[in-house]
Amino acid sequence: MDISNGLWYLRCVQGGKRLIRKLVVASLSALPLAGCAFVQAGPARTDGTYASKAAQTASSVHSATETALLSIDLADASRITANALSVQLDDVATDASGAHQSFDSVQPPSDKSDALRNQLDDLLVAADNALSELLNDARHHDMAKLDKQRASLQQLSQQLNDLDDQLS
Amino acid sequence: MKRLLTVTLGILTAVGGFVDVGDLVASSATGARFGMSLSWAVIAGLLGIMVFADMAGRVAAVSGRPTFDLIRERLGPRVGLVNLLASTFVNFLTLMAEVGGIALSIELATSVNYLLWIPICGLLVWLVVWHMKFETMERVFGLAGLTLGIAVLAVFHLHPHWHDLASQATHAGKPQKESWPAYWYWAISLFASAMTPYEVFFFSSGGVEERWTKKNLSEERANVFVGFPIGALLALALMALTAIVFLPRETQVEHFSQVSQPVALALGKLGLVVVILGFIATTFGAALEASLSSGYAIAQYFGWPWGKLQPPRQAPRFHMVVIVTVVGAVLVLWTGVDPIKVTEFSLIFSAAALPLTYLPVLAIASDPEYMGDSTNGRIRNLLGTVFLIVVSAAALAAIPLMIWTKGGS
Repeated sequence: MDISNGLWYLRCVQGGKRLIRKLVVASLSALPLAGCAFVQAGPARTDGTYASKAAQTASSVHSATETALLSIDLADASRITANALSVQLDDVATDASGAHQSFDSVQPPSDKSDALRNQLDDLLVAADNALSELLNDARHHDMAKLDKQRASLQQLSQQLNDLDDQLS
Repeated sequence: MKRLLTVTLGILTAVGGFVDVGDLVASSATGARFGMSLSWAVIAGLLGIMVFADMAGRVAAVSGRPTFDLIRERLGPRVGLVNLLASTFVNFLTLMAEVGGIALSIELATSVNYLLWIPICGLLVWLVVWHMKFETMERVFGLAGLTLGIAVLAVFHLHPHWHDLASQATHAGKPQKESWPAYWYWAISLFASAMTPYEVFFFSSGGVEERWTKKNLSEERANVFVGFPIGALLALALMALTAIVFLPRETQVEHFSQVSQPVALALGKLGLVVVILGFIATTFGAALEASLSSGYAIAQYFGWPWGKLQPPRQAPRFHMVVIVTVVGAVLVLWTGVDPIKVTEFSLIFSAAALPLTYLPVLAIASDPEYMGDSTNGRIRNLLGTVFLIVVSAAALAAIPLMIWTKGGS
């Protein structure tokens, strides 16, 4: 094996033609599966699966609320432009609402999961409303109102984080 | 003096050109989730791209022909076609991601929905490719991309616990909440973001466009061995910023708008404006490179006249491929597909296609028939072989990991 000779690599390529062909076919076959990779929603047949989806949703919405809190801090310190603030809050509001809808589309498999759904749903509705309101305030450049929401959003964020920790 | 200026400009251009939307997304997302513990993947990707870009640049300088041209001639049309199909697909995904990145950056500056900016961005990319001189294009966007250097300044302004960052970087572990498959998925994404195939096509074809000869080898090496590492430093700075600001808050980075938040926190509105300019410049520059790379790959495979130095009348099919690729990318993005998800997707498919790009580069760079006395020596071949094994392992694991982790979540 003389790796300093280009012919060695050439033989590797030519000897590996079948392997390359198989890999290409396998990769192309994986394309539809790969497309499904980003789909988060799906059925939950057991309480464990449902709790895992609930944890993922709580984590995602907690992430959105924390980002919104950081945006409020930046706005409060005049460290962000009105346009960027509006885009950031729009992004997190869309995220939270998307995660909420996706979670609601999963049917709880038992009464225990149903109770978990109710518990998380209350938090998700509150987060949805708070983030929509923040976005509205940001679009109206109402910084005083924006700051007033901080305490309730912090509380919501903490509750979501606690639930995520409890379920993970 | 003039030569020193040319080399310096080349290095600066390479710094700006190293970072693209893949680095922006992957570095920021991993910093927020894994701290600096995946910085080794950026370093590995940097070493890999340095090894192979140096080979591709040398092939261009010595033979006066770009790598893709030689792949078909040396390895035959069938292997060349497999290579072409994989590269075209990955280039197309990359172009979509970059155009999406420009639109999202402009949205951040204007708060006008990014979908409205997409056709305008596509048109601007095409206009620059059509009208601007190659060297001017490379210099303007490469140098403008240097504004991203503000990320390094922002890291210092946030006064981080350096010991914590160093500890994260030297201990390749994961936070308790994260899974190992997700850790490896993001490691491969980061590795692929440094080794994106279009970078090699562009570097190699660009060398031919700029009429590199053996005399330009020092310039080529300065770009690769000085410019690229500084570019990787910018990617690490972005990772550090999200590790400092988002990791303690257990917040995931899923939007472009979040990438700018740590810079605003550190440097205020001025920092925010500069970093948005940096986003626009780097994604625009990379969009130009990815669109040209599609034209290069296809035209070189079929033996058509190609290149920006050729007037469109003399290379009509090359320019047509570029136009069709840009229009295709705009149309797919206009369906509302999330540009950030496209970026993540493009990185994983890049990883899967990496051996198809880099094995032929190694084969040709170590072939004395083409390279004469500039053929790879034993050390270069050893490094190339080691990285080829790493690249192949990443390629095999990329798609299964994406399916297993549901896109790294």
